[in-house]
Amino acid sequence: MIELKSIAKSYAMGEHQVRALVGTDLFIGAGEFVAIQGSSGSGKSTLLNILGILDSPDSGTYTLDGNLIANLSARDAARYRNRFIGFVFQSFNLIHHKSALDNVALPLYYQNVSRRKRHKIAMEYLERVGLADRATHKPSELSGGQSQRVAIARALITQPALLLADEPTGALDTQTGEQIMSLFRDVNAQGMTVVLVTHEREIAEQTQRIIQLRDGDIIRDERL
Amino acid sequence: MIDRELWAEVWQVLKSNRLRTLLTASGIFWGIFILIIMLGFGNGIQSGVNKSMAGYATNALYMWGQASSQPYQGLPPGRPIQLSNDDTTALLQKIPDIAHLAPRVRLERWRGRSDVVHGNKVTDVEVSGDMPEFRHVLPMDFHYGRFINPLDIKEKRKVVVIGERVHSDLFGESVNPIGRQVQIRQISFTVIGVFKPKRYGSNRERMGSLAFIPISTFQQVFNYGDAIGFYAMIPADGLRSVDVAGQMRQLLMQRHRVAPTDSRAFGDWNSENEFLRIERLFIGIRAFVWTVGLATLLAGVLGVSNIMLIAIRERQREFGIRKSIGATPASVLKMILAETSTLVGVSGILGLFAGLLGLYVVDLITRPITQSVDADVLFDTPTIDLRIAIAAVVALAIASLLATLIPARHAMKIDPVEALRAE
Ligand SMILES: Nc1ncnc2c1ncn2[C@@H]1O[C@H](COP(=O)(O)OP(=O)(O)OP(=O)(O)O)[C@@H](O)[C@H]1O
Ligand SMILES: [Mg+2]
Repeated sequence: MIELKSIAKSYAMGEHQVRALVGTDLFIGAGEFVAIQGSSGSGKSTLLNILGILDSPDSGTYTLDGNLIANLSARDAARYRNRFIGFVFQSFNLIHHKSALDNVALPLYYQNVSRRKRHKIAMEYLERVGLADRATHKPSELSGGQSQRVAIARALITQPALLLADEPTGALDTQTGEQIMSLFRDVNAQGMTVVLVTHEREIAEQTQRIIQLRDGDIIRDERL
Repeated sequence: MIDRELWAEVWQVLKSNRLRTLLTASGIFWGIFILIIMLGFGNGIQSGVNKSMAGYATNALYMWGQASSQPYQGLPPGRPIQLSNDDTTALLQKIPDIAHLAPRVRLERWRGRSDVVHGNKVTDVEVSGDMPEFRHVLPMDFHYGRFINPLDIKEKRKVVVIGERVHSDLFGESVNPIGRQVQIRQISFTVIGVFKPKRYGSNRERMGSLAFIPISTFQQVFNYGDAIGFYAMIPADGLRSVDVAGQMRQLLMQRHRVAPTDSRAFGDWNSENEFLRIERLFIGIRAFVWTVGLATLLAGVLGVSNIMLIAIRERQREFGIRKSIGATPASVLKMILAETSTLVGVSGILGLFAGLLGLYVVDLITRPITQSVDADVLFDTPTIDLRIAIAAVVALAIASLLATLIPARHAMKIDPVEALRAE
């Protein structure tokens, strides 16, 4: 599913370079459920953004589902993000002026699915995350856990092969975090590859594989 | 290209940012509104000035014979020059730059009046012999009947067209005088029309005291032979009357054996100077209207681009989210341009209608003053060329789109990672 070869990425910080990733190799098979751990600034988000084609590495190769991801046009990158990848963020990143239903439906808008069909499918996904009764609510009227479930429904609606989540439970209490994790377990059980970033050991232990990052490099890779 | 889905998306965005939408829309609205109102007022003033001007065509030129002042080809100076019907034929044949030529004869001297009698009533009129072409020199409407026609000329009919005051003095305002007889110098004429000049100008009484007889009849019954008093001439479109007058003068000099250097043999007069003065006034008004109007529109455009700039910066995160879930840069650009054109289009059209409504209201209010018979205000119904108004809206929309292009291109290039990081 995912194959990274000596991926490096650094950021210019005034005079010096901050090396966020230093030649990382990583293989993740289809259907895996992986957690990435590491201290703050260890490069977890950078890695995830590269996996999600939101960011591109300075060097190294990234192969996603057999396709070499390199020198993509903005249009092709958008297409990959839309069809292959679902993204879940710590801060939910819902569009505040859209209802829960419209937020969930938005990725299908970029696939030119008609409004009616979009809404029908979005409703099914809202049901799946248990929020059918909140369809018309704006994000400001939802709790953190509800917002994250809407965001997950949005990430799932295009039936991506790969689900990426950056600290999805970071802003939630333990109990709500548990609900989110069970959603991830469900979709993984149905065959979707799931990669999540977390700094909580208890969360990481609910996955099948924990990757430890430090200073932009993988220091441990344990299968549970 | 622009589909319903896009409109639904645009509508949602505009609706959710009511204040911003309203601010932008009102800038455009006022721009168009003010432009329309100003154009309307400019036109109102123009037609008001036009209406207040003398009733005669402003580009008409008048020419008459005087007396030779130089000896020429054995002829002595001081020889009176008399224009005739043959001169008319020659002028019409040889000078195509003349659009209309109206030879005229008067019964009395300049502005002199004769008595006109109907039954036991008498009043005074300025009698002239005229051709049908005179209507181009003095544009007129008809209360009753018609003007002199070619058949009147050909058959030398004893008919007369009278002014409004003559009509009311001899017959009473509400009486149809067509077919009735009036006497001028003991000769009877049948009334065939009561005219009203299209523009009265300042001397309304005089305009109502005119009487026109076919020139052929006039020459016969008053023993004028084939003499012509003077010419009134309208030049062909785009030509200046003084230039055409030069041609006329040259031809008449040849025909009357006048020295080519004898500038006093023929006299002429034209209202072109007045005409040009008024033209300049109009140019001034138009320049003012367009300057202010375009400045207002420009302010509207700047307002749009400014607000879109702020809006796009404010929505960085939204664009970042959209991009992270599959929006292409082109789709982001398309959405922003669709937002702008909807906003500008709708508010521009509203401004257009409000402007037209405003002009209509102004007209309703001013009509009692401007349309009264002896209106002395330099204002008339404000009108507007709808094509210009629509062109202004379209130009505004295009200018706004171009102005939005800069912030929109910025939005296209938003890096989702950056945008989503910023809390
Ligand atoms: N846009 C950027 N400009 C400069 N430096 C950056 C940028 N993005 C990341 N970095 C740096 O790269 C390194 C890795 O950042 P990254 O966000 O991947 O860490 P992280 O493991 O996700 O940390 P956290 O747990 O705090 O989210 C850090 O040192 C960070 O300061
Ligand atoms: Mg991070």
